Amino acid sequence: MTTMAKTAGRTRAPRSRSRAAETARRAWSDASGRIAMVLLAVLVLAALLAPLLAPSDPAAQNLAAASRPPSWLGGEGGHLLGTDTLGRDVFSRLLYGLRLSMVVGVVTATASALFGLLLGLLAGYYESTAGMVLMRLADVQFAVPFVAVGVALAAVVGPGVVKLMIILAVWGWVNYARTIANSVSQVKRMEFVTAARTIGARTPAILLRHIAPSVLGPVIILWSTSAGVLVLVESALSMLGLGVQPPDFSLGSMLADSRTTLRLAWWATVFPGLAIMVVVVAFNLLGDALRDAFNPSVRTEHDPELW
Amino acid sequence: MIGYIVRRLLLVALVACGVTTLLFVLARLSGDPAELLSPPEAPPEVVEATRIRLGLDAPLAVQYAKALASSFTLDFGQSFAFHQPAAQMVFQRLAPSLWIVVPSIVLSVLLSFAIGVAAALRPSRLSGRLLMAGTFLTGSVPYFWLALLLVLLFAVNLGWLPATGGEGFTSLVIPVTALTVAAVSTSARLARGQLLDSFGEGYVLTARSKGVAPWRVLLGHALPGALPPMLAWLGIEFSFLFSALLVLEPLLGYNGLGALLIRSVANQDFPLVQASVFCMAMLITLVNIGMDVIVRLVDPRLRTKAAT
Repeated sequence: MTTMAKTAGRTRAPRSRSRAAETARRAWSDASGRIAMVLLAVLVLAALLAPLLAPSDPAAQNLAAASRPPSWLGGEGGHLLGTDTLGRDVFSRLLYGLRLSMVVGVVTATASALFGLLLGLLAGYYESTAGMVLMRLADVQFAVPFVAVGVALAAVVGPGVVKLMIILAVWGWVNYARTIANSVSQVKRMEFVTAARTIGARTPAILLRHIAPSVLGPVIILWSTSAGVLVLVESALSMLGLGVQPPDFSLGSMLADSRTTLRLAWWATVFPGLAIMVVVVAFNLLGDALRDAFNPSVRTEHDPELW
Repeated sequence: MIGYIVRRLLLVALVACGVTTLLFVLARLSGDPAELLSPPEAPPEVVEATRIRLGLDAPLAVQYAKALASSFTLDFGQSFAFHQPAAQMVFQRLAPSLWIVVPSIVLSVLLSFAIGVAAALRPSRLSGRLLMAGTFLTGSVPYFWLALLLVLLFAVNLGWLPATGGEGFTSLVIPVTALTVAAVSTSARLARGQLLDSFGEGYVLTARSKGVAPWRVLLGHALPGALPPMLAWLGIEFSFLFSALLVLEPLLGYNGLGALLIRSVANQDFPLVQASVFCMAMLITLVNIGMDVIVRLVDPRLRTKAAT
């Protein structure tokens, strides 16, 4: 019996590695998926290679060259995206700011995905008890606008990007948990789960090895869209002075810093915002392509001859 | 149906308790209001007197019970900074915020139906794809950045609208536009998806094959089928818009509930923070419950499911 239980624990749910490869291939075959992957690759490279690509030190102030328009608008000094009111090169700051924005989006989304996955598995598996408590908690959390909590919490713990990421990661579990709990409560009634239990697999093994792989699709889709949302939320909270604190800066805090000098140097506000938008578009497109890739049936749209 | 409404209303009580607990914990963690309210050089007796006046000398359990009672009676005490009843201030500031939220919702619903229908009628043609690509872009625009761009264009360059503050209609244009653009994306995509689904349903195909005119099928059969998820989404959108207001109002110098909350957090004005967060949470919950009830009323499929 013990050997059987061990084998039962080790066997995987009916899903193989080729499934992941197949999903990636399907996402790539989609036009929006391809755009998303190329955009994200460019963004990640730009962030990683910022020291090589940046024409000047992002922190170097030069009041003599303050508020210069972009070079292609006739600005002096060859600044591709101009300089801000302190004479710092906007393009260089954009590359460095991208780093922190991407880190906040990706790390926070991953943390809250893991947290939400765990809670969602428990809520879906123990529907009657843990599920009830968690879902009512989700109801309460859903009623409070996140920014309100972020602001109040930041007043308690003080502003700062790491604290903000922790708050965002903890707060973000609800969406995952709801989606996953739904899938789990369906999956756990399937035959392969009953089979695993029959040959003596323990609950943790069933949850992690048999059920979790089956609900990974929705998790990955949510991860992608929430990474984009988190980049937006970080920027929004930066506008309120709660996000990244100087001397560090993100795309959001660049926007926040430059908003009062809109009249003097609009390019210092317009380009960081545009960059945020590109990041969000890339993550959203990826999420969309992954959704189609995980649910091939959704893509067969009725294009009726009706009209 | 009545049982359903009662069950949903129990949720209101749950949210009220939950939000009060959250705010209570946050307020107790964020320092001693008594010291904050006393002058920096105040002798300990004065601080102690303030503490007693605020009821902070009582055991935590008593303070918590008081906090719960104040939530249910909507009596949050006097604002530390403004020396007015907090609840009254919140209700005064709620109206200006609703003047932004409600038009944004109405506009985004109308627009998203138009876009959704247009895109669903030709899902694989270029025009349909362009519409969807467009909603993708507007959905990714940071609304606060869009508001800044609108300020730059219409206030700084053209001088048509006030840059910050302002009264009446002109002060609404920029925030409503920014929020509508941000909100229309998801609901337009939802409308299109729901319509495409309902085009494949038997009742639409039947109506078409009986020879009902296409526009009547669209308005009378396909659109009502797509309505319930759209209504449910409205509740979620309402919550999103309130979050966005907290950023937009201070940014644009607009005197609404969002700006009030941000200011009172900065002032550590606990009664006002409690009153405004509580008010927002209640409003969001009630709107969502309202939407759920309406969805049940308009969607016969849900009613039969509930009956069996």
